[in-house]
Amino acid sequence: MFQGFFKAEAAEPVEVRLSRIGENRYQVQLEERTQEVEILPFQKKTFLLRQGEKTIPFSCAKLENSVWVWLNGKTYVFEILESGSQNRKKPEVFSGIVELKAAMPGRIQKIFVKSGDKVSGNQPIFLLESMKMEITVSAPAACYVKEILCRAEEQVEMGKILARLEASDEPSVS
Amino acid sequence: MVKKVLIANRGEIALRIAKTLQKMGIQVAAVYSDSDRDSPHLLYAEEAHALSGAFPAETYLNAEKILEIARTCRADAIHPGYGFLSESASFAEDCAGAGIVFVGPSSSVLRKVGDKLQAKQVAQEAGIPVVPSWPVQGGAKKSDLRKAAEDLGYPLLLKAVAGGGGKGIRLVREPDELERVFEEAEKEARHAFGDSRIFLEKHLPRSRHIEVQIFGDPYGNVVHLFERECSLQRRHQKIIEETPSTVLSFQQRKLIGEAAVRIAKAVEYYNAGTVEFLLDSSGSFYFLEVNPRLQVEHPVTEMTLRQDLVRAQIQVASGETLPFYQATLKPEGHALECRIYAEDPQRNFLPCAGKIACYSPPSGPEIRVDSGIQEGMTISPHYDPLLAKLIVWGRSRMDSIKTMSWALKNFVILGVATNLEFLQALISHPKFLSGEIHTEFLQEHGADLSRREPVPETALMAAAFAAAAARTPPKPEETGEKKPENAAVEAASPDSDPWAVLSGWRAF
Repeated sequence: MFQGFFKAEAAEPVEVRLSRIGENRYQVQLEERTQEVEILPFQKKTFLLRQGEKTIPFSCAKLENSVWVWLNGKTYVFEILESGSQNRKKPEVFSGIVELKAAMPGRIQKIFVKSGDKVSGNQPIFLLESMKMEITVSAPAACYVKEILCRAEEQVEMGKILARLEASDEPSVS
Repeated sequence: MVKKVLIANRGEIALRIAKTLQKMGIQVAAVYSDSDRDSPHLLYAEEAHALSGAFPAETYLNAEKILEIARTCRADAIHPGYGFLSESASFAEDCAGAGIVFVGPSSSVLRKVGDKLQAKQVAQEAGIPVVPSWPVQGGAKKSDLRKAAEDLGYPLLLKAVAGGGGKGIRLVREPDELERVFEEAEKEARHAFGDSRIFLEKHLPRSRHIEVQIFGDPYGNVVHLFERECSLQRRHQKIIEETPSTVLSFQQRKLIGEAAVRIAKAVEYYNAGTVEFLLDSSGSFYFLEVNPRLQVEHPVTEMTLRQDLVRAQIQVASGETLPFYQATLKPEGHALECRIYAEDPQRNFLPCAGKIACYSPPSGPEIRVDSGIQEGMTISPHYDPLLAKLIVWGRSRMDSIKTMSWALKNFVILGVATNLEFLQALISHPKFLSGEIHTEFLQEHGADLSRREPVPETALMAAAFAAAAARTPPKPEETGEKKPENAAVEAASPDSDPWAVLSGWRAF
């Protein structure tokens, strides 16, 4: 019924498989361990997870490519990754093209580089103004700026691709 | 009594004011910007008027637009809330000119206390010590600036004369930084407040921020409603407020209250206001500034005194005398407030925008939630990231902390990152529990508060379930009883609630 990799912030991706085996009964496989649990609807967006003797209420919501969960006083955000072993590596160096996206809506206040520039890891690429704060968007690692996809003073939405960065030794001819 | 009040504000304060007005049987006119179309405060107004635009300058700060709406809908009063136009002397004047009551002090009082240097002068004349400062005169030489800074001592603060709400404050640690930070401060002040004047102020290390709620009427009566301690701040923005302060004796509370009343009387203050003081590490207090409006943290005062300050504001604005006597104001118990912000403590408190997919606040006796959000609405980047205020009352400070801890744990907000867990860690910190708080608390103990715990497998199971449920939409040809997983799908989908959509006018 569901199989995928969940990645919580600053944690390693975990493979999870869930399938329904009866009314409110599910088989869950986390990494190597498999167990059976009951999940009952309780209130809107809130459910009861019964694991052995314990009953644990949780609330959840799925938003685009992430799942939010509240459970036992803590909130978790999981990114759903496509299954594949490459998700297991923490990328410190990347190969190919990486898209730099706006983490939140705002206004492009400054663009510090131009296409073709070579930048180092953490070098500021954009200054974004949002919620009365100035946020610096930096290069994740040493790379080349392949193209800038926004203008100064432009209002951008969350998730908009602001630039494409390329991690080859030589900038590609574009 | 006024008959119709226009609330020139948004979010949680607009909702909170509307509730009191409706309880009093007064008509409510609300305003909203484009991004606030889904704001719950519109549900508590008889009329909602659009302020087209999204940026504050074209909406909630647009005095002309707001006055025009007030005139058209025949509101006889405007409540400015906090922030926005609440401290604008010219707006208060324009209201008076239009025959509309401005719920707050007069424009001349606003002008006097709005100038932080003038306010200090008033305090000094009233015999109250002030935080030492040095006004930078126009045309002051660099050498004068450097000497004044040396006399005050480093580190020191650069503050905007026309500033407020914790904005326009910069710390200068060493003499080398002075000129550069001064230039930045001037630029920021001109941009934010339209007035580039700066003054130097001594920085009192590990001080405690203690403020006194005052209330006056136009007949010269002024009372104080005791103090609030707001020492837990980050970048001059308050996070947790409480009353009573753990550090003041009964005698000190009385003295600080009386000092605040003296200052208020000296400027002929009326309506609600707050006089802010700093208590240094030796226990001496110094006047800081006057905030001539209702403050964000006013609920903690309401909880211990069982009063409705907005109600009192409306009564006084309608020409009545003060509804309280100093002798009968007796606070009971302890109240705590936590400000819930849309920010990510794991990423240096980066403000977050997004859609509220699930919202479920805690409730119970002794718990109050003043919220500006509802499920289905989008948090916009244009405004302050305050989502809600969580206020609790307890018979003792420890009781209120226990209730607050429970309430924070049971506050569900999904869709934007919040500081809920950070607040949980903060109120369980041993130094918070012992009351050893001060304005540099977060700098000192910040590291203790951001520990990450491993993700429990139950959370992963819940996430898999949510992902699975969202992937199986109900088949249209299915009739009769719904399968349990389809009921779960509807429950898990954020757009399934038709009541989440608001339209403009609501006639009652």
